[in-house]
Amino acid sequence: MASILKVDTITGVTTAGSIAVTGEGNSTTTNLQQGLAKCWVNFNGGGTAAIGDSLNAASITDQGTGNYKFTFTANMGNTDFCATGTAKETDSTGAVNNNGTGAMCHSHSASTVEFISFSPDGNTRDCTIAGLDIKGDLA
Amino acid sequence: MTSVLNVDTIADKAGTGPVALTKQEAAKFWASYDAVANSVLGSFNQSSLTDVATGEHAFTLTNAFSSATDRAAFTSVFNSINGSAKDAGGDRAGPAACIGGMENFRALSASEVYVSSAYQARAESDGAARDYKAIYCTAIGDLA
Repeated sequence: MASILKVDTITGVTTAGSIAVTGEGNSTTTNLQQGLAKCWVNFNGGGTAAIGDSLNAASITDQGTGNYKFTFTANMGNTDFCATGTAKETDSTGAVNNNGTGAMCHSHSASTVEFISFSPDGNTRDCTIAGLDIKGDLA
Repeated sequence: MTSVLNVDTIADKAGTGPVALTKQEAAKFWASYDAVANSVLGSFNQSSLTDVATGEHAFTLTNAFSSATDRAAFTSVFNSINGSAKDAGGDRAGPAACIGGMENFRALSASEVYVSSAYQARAESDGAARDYKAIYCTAIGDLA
């Protein structure tokens, strides 16, 4: 019979922010906190940039064409976090723009992350469907 | 009443297997890497980094995945050589990055995440391999 533990909060005993969980192969453990996304964002950068849904993202700032900054609700512990993202552009009818759109991210500060979308010629370009994921240490 | 569980390790009822995180899964690897300085800034489950060649980077894992293929890996780069300003002119062409060898074939390995980075091949650039100041990658799947 499967057992289910119902609890609101789990905290490490030895280190409050560190809990090991057994890996799928039953032979190793992996750190739970390090594997969790600390921020994720689904957003539309076209027109007035807006967050669709998110975790730990307080706001989006449109810094210019294809250039966005997200401010965390809870800051990261440093600027060494891992930021991955993807983006594409659609035209006014919703069709995918054939020029394509790429994305890049940068962990400039512990309280913000920069997201840039661009076309293949390197020019920044507004994206309409984009995603951002952050892994790392919370402050 | 709010309940708090204080524990160091969580395993299944038998004490030897993993517990289910209902309808969700944690990542098993991530890294933040400065390829210009050849320095790993932050990482999880990464034991070493091999700078194979320009734009070719191999992250060796502390705990391997159960399979070389049954996992998902993602990578992003930032096209700057100084970590703040974006490149300009011919160097600004959108960066490309992928999991696996871009210029050199390399078989996927359960104990490694291999990332390639390059210029995109357009009129302003030639698609050549390139080291970037900021390379990020993450992977999810079952551990061995």
